[in-house]
Amino acid sequence: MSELFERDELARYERQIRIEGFGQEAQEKLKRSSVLISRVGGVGGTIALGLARAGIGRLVLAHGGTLTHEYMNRMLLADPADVGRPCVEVFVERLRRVNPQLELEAVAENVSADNVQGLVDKVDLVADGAPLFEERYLMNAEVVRQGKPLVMGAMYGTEGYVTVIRPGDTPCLKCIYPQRPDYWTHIKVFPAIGPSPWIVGATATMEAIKVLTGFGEPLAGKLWSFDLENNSTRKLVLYRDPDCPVCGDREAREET
Amino acid sequence: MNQPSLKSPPSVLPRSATDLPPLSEHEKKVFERQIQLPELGEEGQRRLKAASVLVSRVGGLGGTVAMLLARAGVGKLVLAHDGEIEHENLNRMHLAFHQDLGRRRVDVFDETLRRINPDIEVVTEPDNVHEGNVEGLMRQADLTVDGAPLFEERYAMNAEAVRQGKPLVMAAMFALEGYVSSLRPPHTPCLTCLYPEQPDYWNVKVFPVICPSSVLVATVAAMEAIKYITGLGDRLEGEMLYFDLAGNVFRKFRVERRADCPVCAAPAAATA
Repeated sequence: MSELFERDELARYERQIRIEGFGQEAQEKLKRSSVLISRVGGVGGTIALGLARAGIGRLVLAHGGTLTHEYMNRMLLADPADVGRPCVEVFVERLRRVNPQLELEAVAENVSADNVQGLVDKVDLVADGAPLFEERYLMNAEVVRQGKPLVMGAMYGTEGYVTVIRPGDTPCLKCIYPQRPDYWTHIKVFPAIGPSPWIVGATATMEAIKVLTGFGEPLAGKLWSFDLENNSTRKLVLYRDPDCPVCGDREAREET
Repeated sequence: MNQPSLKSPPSVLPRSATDLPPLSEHEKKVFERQIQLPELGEEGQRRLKAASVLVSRVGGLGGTVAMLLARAGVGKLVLAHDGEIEHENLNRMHLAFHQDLGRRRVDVFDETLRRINPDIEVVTEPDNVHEGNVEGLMRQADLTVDGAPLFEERYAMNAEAVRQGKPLVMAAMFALEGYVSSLRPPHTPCLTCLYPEQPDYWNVKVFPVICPSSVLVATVAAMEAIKYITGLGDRLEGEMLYFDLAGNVFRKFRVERRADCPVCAAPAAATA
């Protein structure tokens, strides 16, 4: 087999290749796949780590700024000795230690109107762990334009939310949140204890693996929520908005 | 059997607020975001710093629990795990890296945890839990998170937790499925109430695992430990959380004590 895997590389994935319905075929699909992660904080960093452990072929990371102390309670890709260093430099270094065969590309800025098209263009799937609706809307509009899947992961306090957006088949973020909710306007510094971003990150990692490999049943068109305070979970069915300004005219455009 | 109320006092650890260690300026900065949680606050953070947790084993599940508790600011971890790092560990053992292949597991785990939290105290046992070491290991901790793959180890920890009257968070997984329950007899069943005998289907030495499921189980288990230590939220006492990440199915089952449990029923009767 293969030039696809280096010597000893498959040995790392032995335990997951054993999973019924996963097998070497899914492992090969993962190895051939690429994911954009933005941002790479408590949620996105957990996704990056999970995908690196699971054997994704290539990651593109977008995250601005330098590491501060208060990241350390939830960011799995950085340690206190890294405080003051550029975030993506540390994340790349850590991910290479996790998986030496992983291809990595990183930009030291958050997603913006200027860079979103180029970033989404590089990958098969987008994992959105951004705290701001502006960034989320940009990624959402771009995956709709490029027809690529997006896994959305979000958290606040002890609560978490995950859904999979498949443009054309499922609602897009704009169908779900036509406008940025008022309650989300004044939040720059939100309360966070590690377990909530990790639970969102773990769930979102598995969703990305499902979408990329065809294994299992993804949360397409369903919003999963979790509250770690009492371990309650919900799955809500979501519907497309036919008048959605982002994805609603897609079919009409295709017909013309 | 008469079950005492499931609602328990805020923190079950016998530690008064005046005995808690102060937080350094560095710790206040690192834990700023979680101190903001009103239910946790600075006192909760000081309770975490004062706390000690036994984790065994320290693999995909237990190692992730240890990593998460170190991030959250737990003061002391007692870790028991035998063997050396192998290739097939690296798809899920977050405390080990490619460069660590062949090294003794507990040494690698200790090193990684100190990088995460330089102030943490780590006690290591380069062996899995067994009848001979379980008492001494558990004496060094306020509570236990059980992430062992074998029932022999689980039963040993369960019986000892009952003897010492300490909470035990039971966490288990297989492929995409996971299970978590917090055990604290007589308020809850013990492991032997739930599984009087080792189930036949569990003659598994090499089980399938992919890291999102082990991270999910570990996260819920770590949160249960944090709840025991700080009093935050509702614990999985008298309940078992089950999930299957393949289809994102989550269920909570009610679990009950056995009146004739050979492990936990007798002591309760004696004190009644």
